[in-house]
Amino acid sequence: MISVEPRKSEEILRNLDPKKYAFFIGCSGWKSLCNPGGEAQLQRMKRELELRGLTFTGTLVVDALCNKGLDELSLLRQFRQVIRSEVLLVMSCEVGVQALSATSGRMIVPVLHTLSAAGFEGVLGEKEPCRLCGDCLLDLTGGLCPLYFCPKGLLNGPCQGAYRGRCEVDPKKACGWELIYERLKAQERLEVLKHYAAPQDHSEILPLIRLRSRLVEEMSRD
Amino acid sequence: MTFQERLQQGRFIITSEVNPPKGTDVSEQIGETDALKGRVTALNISDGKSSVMAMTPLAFGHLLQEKGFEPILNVSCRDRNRLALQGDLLGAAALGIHNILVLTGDYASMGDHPQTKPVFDLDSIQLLQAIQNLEKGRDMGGNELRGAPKFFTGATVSPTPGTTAAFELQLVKMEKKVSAGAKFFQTQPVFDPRAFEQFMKRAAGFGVPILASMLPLKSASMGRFLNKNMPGIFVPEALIEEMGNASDRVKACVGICARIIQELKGLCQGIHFIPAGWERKVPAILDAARL
Repeated sequence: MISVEPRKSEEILRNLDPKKYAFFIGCSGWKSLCNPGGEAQLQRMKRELELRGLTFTGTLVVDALCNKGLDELSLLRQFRQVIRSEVLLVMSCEVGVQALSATSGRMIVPVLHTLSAAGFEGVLGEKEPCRLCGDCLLDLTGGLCPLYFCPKGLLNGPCQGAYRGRCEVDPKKACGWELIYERLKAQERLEVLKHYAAPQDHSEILPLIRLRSRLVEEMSRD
Repeated sequence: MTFQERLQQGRFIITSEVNPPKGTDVSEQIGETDALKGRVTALNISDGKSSVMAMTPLAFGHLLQEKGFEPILNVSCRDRNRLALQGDLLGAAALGIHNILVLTGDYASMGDHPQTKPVFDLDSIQLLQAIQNLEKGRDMGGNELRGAPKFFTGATVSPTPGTTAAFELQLVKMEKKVSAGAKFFQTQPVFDPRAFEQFMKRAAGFGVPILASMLPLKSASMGRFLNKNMPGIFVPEALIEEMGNASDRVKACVGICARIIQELKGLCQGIHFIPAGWERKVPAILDAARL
């Protein structure tokens, strides 16, 4: 079961020029495993973002965005609307966001926070790592999560430990921040690196607390 | 005159690093620093260098202060969360330690307690920001302090990190550190003044004094080891050869260091020694470099 919750509008727009054209792509989930909201939720969020000035070139809801094959087909299906947009807004769990980011190579902004992703990682077995922090930064890091790709979880850039582009902790792997740099460079968005990422709010970041309170709330209703 | 005053007056500064002992017996380390008396402006006290457990730099820095040295307290984000970091900083200010060097810290798996939980609650930039808030009389939670500290805060930078991406990222991060309150920088060890010059062409624009680090090259094998294992350190082959052919290693090392310092002198605002056990050779290097 994958558990998600919407990000606040100001959070979605924090690094987004409202004059930009956006394409909104959502996930309808996969069987009973996850429910990121589907068409209704997407339209609700779209209206709210339009009120704040964002213009959409189109929308699309697909099954299982975590499936990179489906992502490619979906992007092709609405190719014109996608190509006219400058940013992809993505309504899915972070697994889907990262899969779409990897497939499209474009600037992406997640509109949901992922609190739990246990038990399901995409139908093709493709793994897009999510640390389930509940405080998503993927819009600032080229769609690559620094909590996962940097063992120190540094949010404002690399340490000085990389050796010829390899991580000091595991020299078999590339420095996560150099990967982020290359992705943002390809998107011509290197200026995003100058954004100051505030310390994580661990009271928010413990998704279990929120999951628990939600479960307790549901049970109390019964 | 203090480290801060000298630096702000634009003088050429010498600092050196000392490592607190593993244990309670400080006599050996204190003895080594005696050689530096009168020759350095301030001493950096390392904070669990290379993730090896040692005495807290706050206590050791205080002891060195009593011996007449001006400490620069290294503060690493590896071991303490934001409560502990802020608490130690208040303690440092209360003890009269005002110079702070903020570092991310080596990963725990590199050291002698690889099983420990690496903290990294804050990164170096967030810690710099937190220090600015403390100086304004507020902790990170926004609570008011009774008595605000006053610090002179610096950070580190790697001038030759190896790849183009890493180089650009170092400069971006340096700019963020300056915005977050870094008033000086100490670099990773420099062996190639030409490469350092390339870095300075980009970094000088930030208008913040930079101290280039000097790690005395003790032998040819040390040079090869550094090139093979140490991030951001590139020892030119010519230097390794020079050390390999030397009949008197200490003399050759002193000569090489003095030569590099002479070249760096016009490029940056000071030298930071990482003597790695050769504290007693530092005065000879400074003599040879006429400093």
